[in-house]
Amino acid sequence: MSDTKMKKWAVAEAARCLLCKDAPCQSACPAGVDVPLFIRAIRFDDPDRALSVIMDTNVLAGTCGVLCRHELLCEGACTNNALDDPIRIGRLQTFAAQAGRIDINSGLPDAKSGPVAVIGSGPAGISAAMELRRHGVVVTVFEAGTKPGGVLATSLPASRLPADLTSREVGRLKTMGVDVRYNSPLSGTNSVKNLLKSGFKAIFLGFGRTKSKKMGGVEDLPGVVGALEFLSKARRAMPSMAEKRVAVVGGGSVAVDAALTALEAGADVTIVYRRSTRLMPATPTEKSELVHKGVNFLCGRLPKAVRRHNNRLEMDTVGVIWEDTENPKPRKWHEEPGSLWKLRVDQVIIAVGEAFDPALAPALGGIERAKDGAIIVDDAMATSMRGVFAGGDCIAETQGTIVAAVAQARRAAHEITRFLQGEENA
Amino acid sequence: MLKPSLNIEFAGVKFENPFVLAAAPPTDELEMVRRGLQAGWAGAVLKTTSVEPTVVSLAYPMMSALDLPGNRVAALGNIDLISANHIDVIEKRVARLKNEFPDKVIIASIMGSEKEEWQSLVRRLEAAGVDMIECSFSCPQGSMGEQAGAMLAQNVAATQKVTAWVKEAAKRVPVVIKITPQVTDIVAVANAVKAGGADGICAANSIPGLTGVDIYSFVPLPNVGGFSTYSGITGPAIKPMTLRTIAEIKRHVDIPITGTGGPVTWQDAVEFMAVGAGNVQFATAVMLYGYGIIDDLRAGMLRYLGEMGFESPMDIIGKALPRIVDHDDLPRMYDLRSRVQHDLCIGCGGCITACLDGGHMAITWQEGKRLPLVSDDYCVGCHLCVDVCPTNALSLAPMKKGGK
Repeated sequence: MSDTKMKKWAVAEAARCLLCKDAPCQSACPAGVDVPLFIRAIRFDDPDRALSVIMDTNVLAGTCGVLCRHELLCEGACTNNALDDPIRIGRLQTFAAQAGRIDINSGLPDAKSGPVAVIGSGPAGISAAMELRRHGVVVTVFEAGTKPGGVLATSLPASRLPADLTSREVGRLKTMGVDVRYNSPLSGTNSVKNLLKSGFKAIFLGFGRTKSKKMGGVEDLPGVVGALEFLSKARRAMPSMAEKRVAVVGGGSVAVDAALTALEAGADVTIVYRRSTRLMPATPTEKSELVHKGVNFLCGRLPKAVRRHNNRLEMDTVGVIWEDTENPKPRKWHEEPGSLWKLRVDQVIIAVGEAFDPALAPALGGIERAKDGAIIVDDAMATSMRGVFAGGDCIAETQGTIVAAVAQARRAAHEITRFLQGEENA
Repeated sequence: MLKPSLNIEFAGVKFENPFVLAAAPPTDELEMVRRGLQAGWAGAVLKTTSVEPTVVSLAYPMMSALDLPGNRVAALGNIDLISANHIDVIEKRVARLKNEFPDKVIIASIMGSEKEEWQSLVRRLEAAGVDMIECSFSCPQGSMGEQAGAMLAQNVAATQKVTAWVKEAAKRVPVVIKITPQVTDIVAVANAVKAGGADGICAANSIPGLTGVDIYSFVPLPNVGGFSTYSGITGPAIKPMTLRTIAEIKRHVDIPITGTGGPVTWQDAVEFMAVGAGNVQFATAVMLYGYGIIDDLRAGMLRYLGEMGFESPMDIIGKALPRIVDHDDLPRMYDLRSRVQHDLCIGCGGCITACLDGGHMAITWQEGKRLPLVSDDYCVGCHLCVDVCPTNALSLAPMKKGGK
């Protein structure tokens, strides 16, 4: 849509908004964005102010505007659901991020306290770094890769992210004068202990989960790939998968991304999911898109084994009988007798969840972690180690969304600032 | 170049920005005025007060609205009267507000009938420390002044006389007269205000109207126990009338104008000032959206000033006036014809309907396509199609006179 059309749409949509008092949309937003206030600014033809309002609590305004699952959050809670259609809050936020201009350095205090090390430059790391800088803290970001953004740069499909929007948002880090070091993973020299010893007064851990969970019993055969690895590769260079048959195991957003990416590459895609489509974590819109674009669904089944068969892969799938079909956390299940069915494919993509990278464990020292390796934090985003905080996907029981990462990082930045003040006063 | 600031001066009084709360329900309670001023409004005109014996007999309901599809409360109607708080309450309120908000402009609106009433109100308010006095010569429900059943501001001679009374009593503060647009000759009224010695004009009070009629009960709105009366109409729909009122006064009478009547956004405020207003008063927009809109007003105006290279909102005053001429003096150098930008057109055909039945039958569909085709022979460049188009796909292009 052209800029003029988009603006006309945005102002008209903003005029439809009831500007509710104690707005449900704001309460539903994990970042607590003041939705009515930014929508009102759009209505009164002030996208700059709209963007500024959003960025008060969400520095990844445009990224979230595009990627967030609004229908489950703000739009789901929208009062207008009782009248007609919910306000397209996500789209209005995207409009504000694209049409609005702000000077990120306006009113920025001098960076004096700290320094604080931020591990990772994905959504959690970027947000923590920017919010810390806003609090006048000197920040150094340690990024393992060669460019900033985390999942925004690696595993999220490029087609879902308007390139200039995300690069503009990520680029604000540099504009704010935050030092970002690339090829600097959390490891030996940059272990938590060493960073603290070398002078960093506090650390924010935001390294996410970069490994795909493996499926028990599924061989590490060529052609079997973790979803994150598949998506990262596709991000660098879109493969040609014409006339290939692909099975995607899983039902969440990453499975959806993998399925759509494979589809776009020309493949025939089947999603294999252990429960019904109704219980898939993907949003209604994502499920509709999958159906509409021609993904096949094999539901109530799990892969049991994968082997080579002639030139292809043969995946044994079995029917799943759940003890408790409604419960989201899988309880006990058993194999349905006589239900074995073989699926012959060229590639299997495993999208059953993201895992903590065990290679990071030594660098974390004695920080208390959950059984799966993820970092345990309290309400103040503090880990068990003094001065070390964490947020985003690297924490235990992560919500797995960008907006949650932003909100947690902002909270952590606030707590780190208090911690630094406490240290100074001591 | 200096960074722009919102500070202005109006009728000799400094305001931190050009946005003022008008005399209306948002300025009738002390607590509400406080919140408004704290939110960032430069000043407030307290709802019109009167001497103690004045009977203010309110009738409810007071408010009604003109709702248009996609545009709720395009206009607001009210049968409100002046404040039920008389001068004894208001003079104390003024003193308190001046004490709490020394940098804000506290304006009291007054209405009297006899000379002594007007003058007593002025003296008491000056003693209380008020910054400015606004005189309501135009309450839509009032029948004050010389002629019963009419507004004071509809009588030119009386306007000048009463203005002079008020000015005589005002030793310290500027006096602004709030007039009605419902007159045959607004310039004559404005001249009378100036001749009476006033320091400014508030243009303008609301427009008498009926927001609607219930087509089943046949009671007009508002329905007050089965009866109705004319409301004062305000809100976005009356902006065009207000712009004309301000412009017409400023073109002919050299007197500061505080503009009111329908502004909602900072762009509206710029428009008011461009046609001659020195600052802008808001009521209906605040009643609909809350005091908080002052944030959008200030931010938008400040950014606009920067973009335009203006140092102050005062640089805007009157900028549009040289462009207003009599009809005979409008340039007629070109023939204009409507042109379609194909990449913007979404094929609704609204222009065809409008031109067919409301224009010159100049637009049809292109052969086999949902794209409008304009006939230069029939099109005269009236602009109706441009106004109707939802995507700005149509515009007028000049053709040399007599040729293509």
